[in-house]
Amino acid sequence: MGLHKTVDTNLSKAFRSLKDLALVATFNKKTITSFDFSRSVVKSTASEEVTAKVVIIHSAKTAEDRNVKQMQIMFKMTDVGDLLLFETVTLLDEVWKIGRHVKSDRFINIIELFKEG
Amino acid sequence: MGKYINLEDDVFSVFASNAWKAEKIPTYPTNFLITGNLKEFIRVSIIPSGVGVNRISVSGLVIIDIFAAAGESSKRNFLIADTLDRHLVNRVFTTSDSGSTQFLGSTLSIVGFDKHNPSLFRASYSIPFNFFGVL
Repeated sequence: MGLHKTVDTNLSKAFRSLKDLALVATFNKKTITSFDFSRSVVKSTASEEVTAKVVIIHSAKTAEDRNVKQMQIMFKMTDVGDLLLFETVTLLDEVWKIGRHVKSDRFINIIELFKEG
Repeated sequence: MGKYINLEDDVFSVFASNAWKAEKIPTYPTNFLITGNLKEFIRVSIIPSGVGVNRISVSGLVIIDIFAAAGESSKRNFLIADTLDRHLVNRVFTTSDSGSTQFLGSTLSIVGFDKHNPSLFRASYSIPFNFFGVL
């Protein structure tokens, strides 16, 4: 087995070891193709749902301009694949918008999620 | 409909036209998620920040960010700005019975390497407009 596969297998094992600390999240991924200026609508292809185990590593609620909930989650890159800004994640029965990628490598992805709180 | 959406329809009609599509410059509005490995594109923002001649009129600027390949001089940015001039300067657009949008003369400023993606070189094209609403 190659080193990449070894690391990935051990990461899967680590996520399983977390038991209920690893939550199930549903990523709603859509491919946006273009903008139709004649009808003022976004043209996107059919969306795809991907379910994966995630770990919440940071959670906060800001109350500056208004209340905004923010979260950082970690998941395995191979479980979800590439994500785009403003795609959505359903986690803890709430729908979140994807923000900044905090850390991405070939194995682990850490992203920020936002919603009005 | 209101003056702002009528204005937007007029401005967007430029980029919906076959004449603009024939230029083959990828064009997007602001607040749109641009995806794909684009080597150049433009992004259109409408700033209706000035008063108009009556309560259903408005004036302002259309600002168009021009992104072209970095490291290849500003020539492509300038060429795209000239292309925009041909389609916009001193032109009048009307998409409804509620009014018309008249464009005036343009200006261009160089912003430099894009701070989010330094493989792109950015210039900012501005053109003032008046939207005349019909009472």
